[in-house]
Amino acid sequence: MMAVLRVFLFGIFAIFIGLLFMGIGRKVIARIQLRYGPPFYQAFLDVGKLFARKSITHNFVMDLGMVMALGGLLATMLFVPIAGHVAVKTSTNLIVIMYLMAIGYLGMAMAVAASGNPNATIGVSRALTMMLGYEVPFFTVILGLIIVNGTSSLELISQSQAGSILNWNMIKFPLAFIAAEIALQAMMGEKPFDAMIAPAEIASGPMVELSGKYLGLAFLTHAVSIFVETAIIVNLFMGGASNIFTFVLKQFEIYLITIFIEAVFPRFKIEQAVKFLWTVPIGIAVLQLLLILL
Amino acid sequence: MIELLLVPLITTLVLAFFIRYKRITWTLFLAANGFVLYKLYSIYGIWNLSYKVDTAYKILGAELTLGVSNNPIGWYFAFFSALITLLISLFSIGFNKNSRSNVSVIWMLIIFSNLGIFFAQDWVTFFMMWELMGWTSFFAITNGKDKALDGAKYYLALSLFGAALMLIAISVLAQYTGTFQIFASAYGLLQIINSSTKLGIGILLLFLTTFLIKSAIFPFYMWPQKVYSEGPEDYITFMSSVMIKYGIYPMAIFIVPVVGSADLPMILNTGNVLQYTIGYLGAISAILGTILAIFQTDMKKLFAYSSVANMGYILLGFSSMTIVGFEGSLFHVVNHMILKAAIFLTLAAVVFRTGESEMHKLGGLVYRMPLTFMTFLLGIIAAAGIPPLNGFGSKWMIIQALMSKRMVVFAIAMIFASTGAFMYLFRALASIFLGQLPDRYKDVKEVPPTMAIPMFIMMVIMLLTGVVPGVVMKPLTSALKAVGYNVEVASWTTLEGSLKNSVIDLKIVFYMFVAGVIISALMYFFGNKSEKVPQNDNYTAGEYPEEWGVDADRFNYSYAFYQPFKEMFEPLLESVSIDGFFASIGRNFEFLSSTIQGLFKRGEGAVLLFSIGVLLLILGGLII
Amino acid sequence: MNSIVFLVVIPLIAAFLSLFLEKLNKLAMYIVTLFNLIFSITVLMSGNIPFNVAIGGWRAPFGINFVVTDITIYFLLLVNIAALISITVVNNIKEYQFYSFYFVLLAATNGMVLTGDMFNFYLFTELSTFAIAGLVAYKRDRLSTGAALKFLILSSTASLFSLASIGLIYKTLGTLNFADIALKLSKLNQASYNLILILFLSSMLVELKIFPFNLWVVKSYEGSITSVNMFTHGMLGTAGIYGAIRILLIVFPNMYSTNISKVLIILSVFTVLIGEVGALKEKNLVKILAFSSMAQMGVFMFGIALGSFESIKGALYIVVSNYLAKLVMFLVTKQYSNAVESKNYIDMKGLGRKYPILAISFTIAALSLMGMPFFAGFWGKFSIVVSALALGKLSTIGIAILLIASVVEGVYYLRISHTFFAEKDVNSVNISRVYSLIPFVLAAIILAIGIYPNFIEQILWNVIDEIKNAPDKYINIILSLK
Repeated sequence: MMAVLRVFLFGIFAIFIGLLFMGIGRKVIARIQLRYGPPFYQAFLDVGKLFARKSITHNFVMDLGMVMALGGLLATMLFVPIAGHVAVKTSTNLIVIMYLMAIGYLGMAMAVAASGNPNATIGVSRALTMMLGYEVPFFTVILGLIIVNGTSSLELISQSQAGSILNWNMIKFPLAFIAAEIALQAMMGEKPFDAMIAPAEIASGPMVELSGKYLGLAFLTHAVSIFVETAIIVNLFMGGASNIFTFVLKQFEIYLITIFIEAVFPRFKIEQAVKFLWTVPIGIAVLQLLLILL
Repeated sequence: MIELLLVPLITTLVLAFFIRYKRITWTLFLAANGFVLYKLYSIYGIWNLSYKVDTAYKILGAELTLGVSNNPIGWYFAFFSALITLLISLFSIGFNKNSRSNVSVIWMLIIFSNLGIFFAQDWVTFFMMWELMGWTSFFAITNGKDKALDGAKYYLALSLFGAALMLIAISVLAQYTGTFQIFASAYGLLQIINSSTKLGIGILLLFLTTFLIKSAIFPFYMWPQKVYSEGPEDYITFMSSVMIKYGIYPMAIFIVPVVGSADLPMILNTGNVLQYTIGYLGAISAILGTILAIFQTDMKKLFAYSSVANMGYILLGFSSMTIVGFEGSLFHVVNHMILKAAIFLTLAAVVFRTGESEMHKLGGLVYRMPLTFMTFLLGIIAAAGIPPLNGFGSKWMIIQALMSKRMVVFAIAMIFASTGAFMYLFRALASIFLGQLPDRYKDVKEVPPTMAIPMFIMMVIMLLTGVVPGVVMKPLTSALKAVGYNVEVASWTTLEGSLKNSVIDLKIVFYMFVAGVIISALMYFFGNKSEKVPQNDNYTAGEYPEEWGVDADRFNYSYAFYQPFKEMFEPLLESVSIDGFFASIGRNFEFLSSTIQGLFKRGEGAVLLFSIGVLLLILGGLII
Repeated sequence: MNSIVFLVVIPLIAAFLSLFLEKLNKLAMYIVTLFNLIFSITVLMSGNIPFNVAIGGWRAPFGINFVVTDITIYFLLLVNIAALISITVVNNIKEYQFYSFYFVLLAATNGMVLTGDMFNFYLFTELSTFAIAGLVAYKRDRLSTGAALKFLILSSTASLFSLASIGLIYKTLGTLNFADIALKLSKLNQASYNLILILFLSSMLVELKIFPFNLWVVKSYEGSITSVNMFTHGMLGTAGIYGAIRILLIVFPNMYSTNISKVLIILSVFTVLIGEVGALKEKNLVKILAFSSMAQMGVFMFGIALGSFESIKGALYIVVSNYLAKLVMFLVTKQYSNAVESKNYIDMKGLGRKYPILAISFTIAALSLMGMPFFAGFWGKFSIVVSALALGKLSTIGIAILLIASVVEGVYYLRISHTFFAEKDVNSVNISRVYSLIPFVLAAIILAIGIYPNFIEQILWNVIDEIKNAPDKYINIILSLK
């Protein structure tokens, strides 16, 4: 019973933090662009409104896919240690986390492709291409850290940085951190890597046919993915944290960097994005890997 | 032991007799496969079973003895092959109701040869069965269709070439070791490598090439797409899931032990030269297979290349030469068998109902074939290696092994291929089953029960192996233990990696996934209710195109699905075209053939050539 | 067993009689062939092999003699069985010339196998050549006449060389008896020995279809009717192989210490390559078989030229497999090409679905020629490969090329088999099922040998024993008798 409650709490917490980040992010961007911007709790209002609205669906795959999307990301979230706490006792294996994340994306992709709108499918095809773009550099970074620590457990890697700030992988392996940051930008689908959404070209791509609670679920999925991705970076490079507030604060720092970049950059075309990801971050990551290996 | 081989052989004859009665043949076929599976089940653990035939045939001064014997790794391969084959043959009953040709006879002969390969005790038996598999496959692929001839010829030429290399290797090896026994000659080969390295590696590479050809590893990666696109779909299912593993089996029992313990120059202290050769071949196959699969528009070709990539993973696991990698590879063999069978069965079902295998001409079939869709969905989730389905565990073990050996390039290749797999798998899903249903497929129905049942069982097996990997890992580890590897028998649900603190419990992964889905489902039900509307309502904005005298123009985005990606990679692939190389060999032979024909057709200069011949003899006999 | 002479005499008499028999010719053909076959079986069963018959009571080495040993009797059987099978496809032929030539051929091939001296061997070879040339020309169109002429020219050239070598032998050794030559040859100086061997080989290789002596093969196969093809293959070819074994292995065993055996290896590899590659693009089934029989002779020659006993055993397996397989293939070709009135195999599409036994027999024969396991040819290929790899660089390269050529062979043969089984409606075609019987039986024999080589292994070892112990055994038989 406790375990069930714990799992539930972790899930709600991730959603809450994710939505909060989204709201603040919008505000920050607005300020950078010299607008006033919505209140920081706007994301909660949006989700509430969407869930309250009636919506349309075309077939059961849409429902299944959306549920799978959020479910998959929540499951991933449950494997990520948050300030040393994990929802259940596992070895917090990085590879498991990376693969589990994919099921969320698959669910989302399936749902929007089932909607039958070509724009949505174009968006998905771009998103998947992008995925190939950022997974490789990101994994190269992870590989270096795994080899240094001799373990693929996220928890152990974060524990290994305990002590002073000088032990952080961010300081020890700055190149890896830069590469991971760039990959993270693409992973979150923020500018300049947002070709899959591209409202002006493909009418928000995947989102084009979603309405009501489907769009709401998509929002929540995005929120959880922000949470998971920032949490992974914090664990990998910033040594985790001793309590949850510090942890969330560190996550927010990471998110802020992404938001700053998002606010000022234009959009890459998809092939430009992939080419960029396969040259600059991979180059940096491989350099770091060589430094580690030799 | 011998009845295991005799029953398929006798069944072949009986089937040949009844070839015109489809219902009888396919039922018999199913029964024979059932028997094989039962028999295999019953001989588990009895590793001293064997059967020998003494012939009077003298070779290398001794009389040749042919033998089969039960061996643990062979059993492991044979048992799971038989299991999948049984399911496919159940599917075949329904699938072949309307087909004109009957492939069951030759297929049974292939099953016979396969059992022979897995249980062969000596290289001669192995070779005989191997060759039998080559030409029988040719007939099974063409199955009376001229369209399939080109692919089948390509396959035949490659497999005959491979067999020729193997014959040379066997003969040389027997000359140096004095034995045809597989296990004894492995030790012999090791000694040859240690004493005269060049010769030993030469022999090893000859063997390796043969096995690479059968398992479609780079540079022989072209045949699956040529063969799978034209052969009979149910047989192709067998071929892609089960038969492609026959190259892996001898690698596991012969190549890996020899390479692993050979005393060869090391690279970066992580592995020896041959290990890296195998690894690079695997990595190139994985990457190339993935990229090419992304380009395909024909779904069978797409999954053919996916098979190439998966064979690459298996080789990568071997190349690590650690026990985790080895187990992971062998585990992946079975996982890939299961998931590829599931996927190809659904493709067969789609072709059965629509007669179309070009993905961009399909679409929206989920409305008509939901069960097929579900099987396909689980299949691609498994193929992408996403937990909690079965492809994950083995891939995870292989990556673990590569990381622990610091083989970074291979690990990155593996991740590239897995992520790329996601691209092509989703493309197949979206193009075949999702999107809008074309009008011409309005009346398509779900497949009949005889075909639906095996697909359903496939789903169950995929989930079961995914959550409880012990069903495969337990027999595997017991088999490895029986062979003499230093392993613990695996537990039901946990997998053990080779890095620190890397035990994962797939049961927990499954529970977490369920928990995530439950939370998300709660959210879903918490939201306001939704209304199901036909796609047209949204798509044409509520208008009725029929009223304007036009049809609703349906279209899916599925033709040039990854065009930007394709544009990036095409120049690269054009510069390394192995296919072009093989094609040019074929063309040169044909050109030569025409020349020779011309020579013999006119027959001019017969006496001149005669004189040249005499001169040659004189040159050889008197002058030199 | 003086009556062994009947094997040659009776067909010769029949050849004369055929001028007058007219419609009874066909019957006479069966009677004589059956007589030859039954007589040879009786000889085999009589149990007093080996024996030696001096014609006219003149003792060897001075007189003419017929020798019957293990090798002889088996080849005698092969020749006569081939004759019997071949004549089953002879129908609607009224001209006495055909029968006359056939009887001469039968006499000559039996004589070639039986004879114990060089000059008689030469005579019988000449006789058989003329007979075959006549038979090839039987169709009397442009193609067959040209083919016959070509064959005649080549074989006359060959006979010239043959005669020269016989003259040399007689001049230097004063004898023409095989056994006597074998005894005395070792005393000859190397240069003369080589010269004799080269002259003799040049003539032998024409009949053995070895490149570059084989330009007659394809044309004469293409130009003649199926029964004649079967004569060429089963009778003349088999007798030629016998000659090669007898003369090269027993009379000239020193060949292996000279470079000539190496030249032979090279030539036979070329023959195989040319035969297999030449057939690759061919559509005419008969020409394909011609190319393939060329290639098979190449493989046989390769095995012989290697010179180890295992490779010779392999070569003998190849002989058996090729003998059976080609008979099957010609029979099937005959039926199928008659049915569709074309020799192009693509026109025969779908016949295998209606007449599966013929097509399956063809496939079995093809697989045997490819050296696939479970078929007779495999054991031959296996032996040759194993022994070639032990015999140095040249033979290793040779066997590698041979194996690659067999890939080509596999492609074109199985393509034909596939065409037979391809989907097509062939309801208009009619073939009597009786014709399936002989191919089926022959194919079953191929399969039986392939699965259980013990059937002929012992026989082949007897043959090899004879070759091994040639100086003592064979020579003693001939020279110490009476």
